Amino acid sequence: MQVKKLIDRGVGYLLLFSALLSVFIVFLIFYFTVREALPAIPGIGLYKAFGSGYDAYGKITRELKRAEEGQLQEALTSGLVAARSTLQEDKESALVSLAKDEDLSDSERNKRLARIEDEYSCIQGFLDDVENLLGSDLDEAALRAGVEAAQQRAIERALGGKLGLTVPPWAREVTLNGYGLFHFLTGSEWRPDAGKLGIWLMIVGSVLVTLMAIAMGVPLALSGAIFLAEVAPDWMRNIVRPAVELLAGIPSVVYGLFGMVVLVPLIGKIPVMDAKPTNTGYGLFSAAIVLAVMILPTITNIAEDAIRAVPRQYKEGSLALGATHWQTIVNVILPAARSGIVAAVILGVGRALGETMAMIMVIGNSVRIAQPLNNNLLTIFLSRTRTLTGNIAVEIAYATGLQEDAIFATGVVLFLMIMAVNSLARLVMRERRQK
Amino acid sequence: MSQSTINVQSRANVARRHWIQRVAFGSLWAAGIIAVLVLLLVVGYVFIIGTGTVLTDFPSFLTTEPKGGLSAEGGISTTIITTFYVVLLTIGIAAPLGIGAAVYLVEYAEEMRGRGGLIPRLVGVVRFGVETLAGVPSIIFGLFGYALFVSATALGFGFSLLSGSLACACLLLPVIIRASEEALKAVPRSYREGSLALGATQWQTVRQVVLPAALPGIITGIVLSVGRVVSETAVFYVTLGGTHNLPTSIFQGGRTMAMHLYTVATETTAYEKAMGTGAVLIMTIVLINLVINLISRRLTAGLKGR
Repeated sequence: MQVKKLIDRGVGYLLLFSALLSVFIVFLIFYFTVREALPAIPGIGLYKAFGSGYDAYGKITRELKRAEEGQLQEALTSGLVAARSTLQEDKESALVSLAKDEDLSDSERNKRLARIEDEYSCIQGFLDDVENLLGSDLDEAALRAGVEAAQQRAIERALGGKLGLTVPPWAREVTLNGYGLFHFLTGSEWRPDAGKLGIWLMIVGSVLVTLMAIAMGVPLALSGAIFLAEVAPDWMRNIVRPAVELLAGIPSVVYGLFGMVVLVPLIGKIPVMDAKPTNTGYGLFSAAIVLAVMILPTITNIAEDAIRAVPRQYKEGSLALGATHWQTIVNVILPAARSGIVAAVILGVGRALGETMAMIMVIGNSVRIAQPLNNNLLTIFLSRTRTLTGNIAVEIAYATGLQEDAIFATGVVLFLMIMAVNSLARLVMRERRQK
Repeated sequence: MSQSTINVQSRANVARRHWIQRVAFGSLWAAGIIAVLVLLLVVGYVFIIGTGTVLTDFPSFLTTEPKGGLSAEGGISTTIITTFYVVLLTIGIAAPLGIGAAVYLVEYAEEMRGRGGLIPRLVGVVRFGVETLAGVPSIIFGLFGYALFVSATALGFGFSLLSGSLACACLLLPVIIRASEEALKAVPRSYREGSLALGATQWQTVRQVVLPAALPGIITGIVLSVGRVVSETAVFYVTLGGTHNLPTSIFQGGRTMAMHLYTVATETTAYEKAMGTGAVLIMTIVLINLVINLISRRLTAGLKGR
């Protein structure tokens, strides 16, 4: 009997452990994704702050990291030489491309010129510091500490120059991270080879395609839900409801395939005058249609459950007062089911934001922000762009270094967006249960 | 309830109100039919063309290996087997953990409540974890799997069945926990109370009375998860690697059918092969759904008391 009691308790704790595992996994997901993502933020900040001086700075940093015991002095000396010439070359090429850019106003041109000069002098100062350190007779540890201190000063100077204020040492980390985060979230260029890693265009892409899909899918889905719950005869409901549930389980790549093979050629046929770039069929419109079809079953099922959950007395009372069935639906049932319907739509939004494979098959994945193809504003719906999910899926295969970190950071942003949407849905649903 | 906007209508209005209703219901019928037709169109198109591909090369499409190349030579044999392996491995990891967690939440959590305020707090934490997991998009699980299981800076399994299955198991955990919880809650209290009254311990009750009674519901949840694994692409895309060879150990990578469909569709011009893979996928999902319906019919029959 004692043994049985022990087994009992033991099993209890074992099962508790497996329950806690789910929480542990959430923690792990956060930890590992954020761990990979975090270096991106200061990295991007540094890139933006140093500008054309970044490569030169990077050469010294690399020597500092890679040098072996006792080799630091030599490594830094050769690194310094390389850095100085890189700095010179980068400044010249920056000036050349500035000169080539013809449609700049004079004030803008002067501003950019001043910025290049600032970046140059900032790194020049850093390299001078390093040279001085190399000149004085320091042992390895002191040399390393000295160069690191010079790095921090350079960062403060660069940030201060870009932000137009003095950055005190205690605020350096925070300012660098904030600066990097700001440019990560709002930068509208994603060109990893040039160090430009801004995801604003993907945020816009995700939001636009989701809004379009909602606009197209929700009316149809809700009408379908009302139809199934109130209007359809029983035999029809017994066929349609399982069919819709089945269709909710079809892999998203199948929908994407249909989009690629059928929708894209069709939409590519829409004539657009003076389109730059030309309409190939891939783009927001095709993606939104595919997405709308995919979230249709989700929204219909949940909304239908919400409508069916309205107590019969409401409906019967309304009918008893002489209202028609339709009046009852509009004035009594729908308002009563409102929070469930809203929750269904919000969950559809969550699903749409998180959809990956179907999106990368039809949206074009260009790294341009969604913009009209010609003077007609409506053609923005035909533009090719990229979603947050698409950015992750397309680049993860070959991304390294800062770019890889930025991909993980994109994932974190996506994660947070969807958690916000889902919490909203849960809030709405809880409010309904308390009614 | 919201303030009703129903006014008691006079009889003079009846004809107009009925007319409005007829228009409205007509549109609802149209909407319902359009919604179903659209879904059937998309799935049916892929299915019909795909079945064409499968049947013209029957059975070689299903039994030859994919051989790569611009026109996607070969069939999908290794992908079918890889999908099977992945399902087995994933469910093998996720099911015991998920069912165990559900059993704890339903059977033990209250029982242990007497031992101090820690347990209810833990239960709340677990519920929060499950709900959060349920809302995470699948690509994030892929990214997480890449960072933890594939990447050499963490566990370093590389692109392998193990990495993919572990990542997908995390994805499935909330589904299995929820389905099992529902099934366990549906077992009448009298079963448990009768067993305990006869002198059985908690664990004996759970093992010999409650679990067998809840089994159909739990199995429904498992089968649902199988469907989920088969359809899932984003997670495996990042953790399995995508080679079209057959993995011979859990440390090797491979390609599932869904991944194969995506690769063929985007990297080759052989749309019919992609459709063929799609048709096989759709067939699998339909079969899985049939199994679920059969099981739930048995479940309701069982509860009505045979």
